[in-house]
Amino acid sequence: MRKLFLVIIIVLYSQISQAFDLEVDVLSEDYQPISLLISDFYVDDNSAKMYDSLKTVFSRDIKNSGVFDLRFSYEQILVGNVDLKNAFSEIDISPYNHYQYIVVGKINYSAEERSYNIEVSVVNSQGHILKNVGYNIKSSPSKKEITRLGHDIANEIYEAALEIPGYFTSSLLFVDGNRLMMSNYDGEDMEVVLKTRGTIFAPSFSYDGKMIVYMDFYEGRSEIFLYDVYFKKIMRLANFKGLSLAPSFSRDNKKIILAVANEGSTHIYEVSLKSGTIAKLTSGYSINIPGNYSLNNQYVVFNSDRAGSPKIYTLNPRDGIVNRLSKGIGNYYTPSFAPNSNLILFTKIYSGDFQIGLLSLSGSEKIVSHDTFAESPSWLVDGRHIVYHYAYKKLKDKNLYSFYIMDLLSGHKLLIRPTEDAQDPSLSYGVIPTKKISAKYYF
Amino acid sequence: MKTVKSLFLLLGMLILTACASAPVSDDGTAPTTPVAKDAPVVATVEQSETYDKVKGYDPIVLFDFDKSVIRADQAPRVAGQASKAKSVNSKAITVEGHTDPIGTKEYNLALGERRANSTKNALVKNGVNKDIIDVVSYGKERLVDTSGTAEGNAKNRRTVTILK
Repeated sequence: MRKLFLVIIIVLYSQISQAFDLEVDVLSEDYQPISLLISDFYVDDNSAKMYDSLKTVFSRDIKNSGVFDLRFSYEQILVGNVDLKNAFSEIDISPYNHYQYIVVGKINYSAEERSYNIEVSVVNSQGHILKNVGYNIKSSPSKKEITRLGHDIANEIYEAALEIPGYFTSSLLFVDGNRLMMSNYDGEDMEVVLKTRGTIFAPSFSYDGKMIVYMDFYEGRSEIFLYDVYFKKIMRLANFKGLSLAPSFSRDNKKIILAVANEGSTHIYEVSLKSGTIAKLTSGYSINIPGNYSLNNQYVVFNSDRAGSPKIYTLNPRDGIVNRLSKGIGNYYTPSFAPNSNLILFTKIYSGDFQIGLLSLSGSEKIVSHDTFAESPSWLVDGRHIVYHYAYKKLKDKNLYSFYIMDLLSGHKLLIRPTEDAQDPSLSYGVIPTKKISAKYYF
Repeated sequence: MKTVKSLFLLLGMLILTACASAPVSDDGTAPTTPVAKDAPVVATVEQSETYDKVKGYDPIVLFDFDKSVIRADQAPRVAGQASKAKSVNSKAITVEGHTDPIGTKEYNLALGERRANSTKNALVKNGVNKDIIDVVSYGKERLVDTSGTAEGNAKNRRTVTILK
């Protein structure tokens, strides 16, 4: 019996330490960047310009991630127009094996088919191929198409090296006054999605990138709307009595979680998009504002002042059981589960200091940013980067804003300034339907 | 012994320093930075916005940080608003809830709604028909003071009772 207890304790301890290790891992201060070599691609006579354009995009993405110690080889590791699929069985890679990862590639132009063929391989220091990806692209691609392709190549390299999803093909959603805006992840290729009569709050994509949910605030009242990205159609979600707040999609994109403020209390509701049924998930005289669902929609993380001031809790939508997670002092806001639900991102105000932090499921926390002017953080799909807005300048009574994408491991920040009033940034978890890359293949 | 006395003196000085710094709630939360030294946290009646000074109507009720309870010093203002609403036979009343800029937009909208409801309930207790009172919340969207000081933020934490 004693042995059984001992085994249980060891198993529990190892699970807890794994969770804690992961947190420490993400926030490790002795973090070392990953060494990556990008070899010059083989390029035929007609493809030099295309190569320069693509390389500019994907190498900038890789560098801006803050993840890699990036180096370039000015000679081709693979000489000539070789078959990349089998190349590494024949070529000695040992001169480069001090790099953890090596990227090679080639671009051919076919006059007959009037198209470019681009192939990229990612190998590790032992010469093992981690990824072979190819693209066919027409002879006169637009600048937007080349940029999108460059981002996709960066994504493939990132995913091969880190074994986590890349975010370079994600779309950035943000608010500019009464306009809902969308751009590439880096703020380029910006477009107006829609305009409202009031102010838009907290827009976010569904996890499949097909829909957007947002809150439209006008004259002290608010409503929740859905926007179909492909068909460009707006739908009102539901007509609640009171102020509707903080909507987000469930992981299966079938439900919306939101809060409704009425009669002095703010409660969390779950709306089924298929049946239209509405379930109230919290009760009592308190303010409860949801973040998002965990994987498999098992839990909802939310902040609540039920204990006197805003703290972070999880809620099981099936049985209504609530557990308090945050144990620190200060006011906690905007909790959100990481893509794999191992950590919770939050904002906190303590002694006038505005902080962005991470909370483990065991309740331990780590502050990753102390910044009075930072707000609205959200996860990127890789679970390693976050995005938030930052009031960088005050002009008379008006703040001017920019965004930062921050690598939680290295602390590296990428500044993005799409418009001066850009707020509430969030990124899609993948390529949205209108931005998909065609003629892509793996070989 | 001298060392112990010095320690007590140092401790006393530390306590005094702590008392003189920015006011901190029971949650360890203080208003915002920068905080003016010795600035009052609670805005006075004279400091608040008034819509109709000529007729002596003050629509404002002020609140403590992160609170929605009507303070004792604000109760006469609610009574004054209720009295005015009844004397002019007001047909509709809108109570706007506002907050300071500390905290997120969503939380502040919820807090503003709660403050507006507190004022609504207090008006009802003072004899106003609850059916004519509507509440809205602007959260931190309509600040009357953007200085970021403790005094300025105290002015922002308010409800505004509009008689129609």
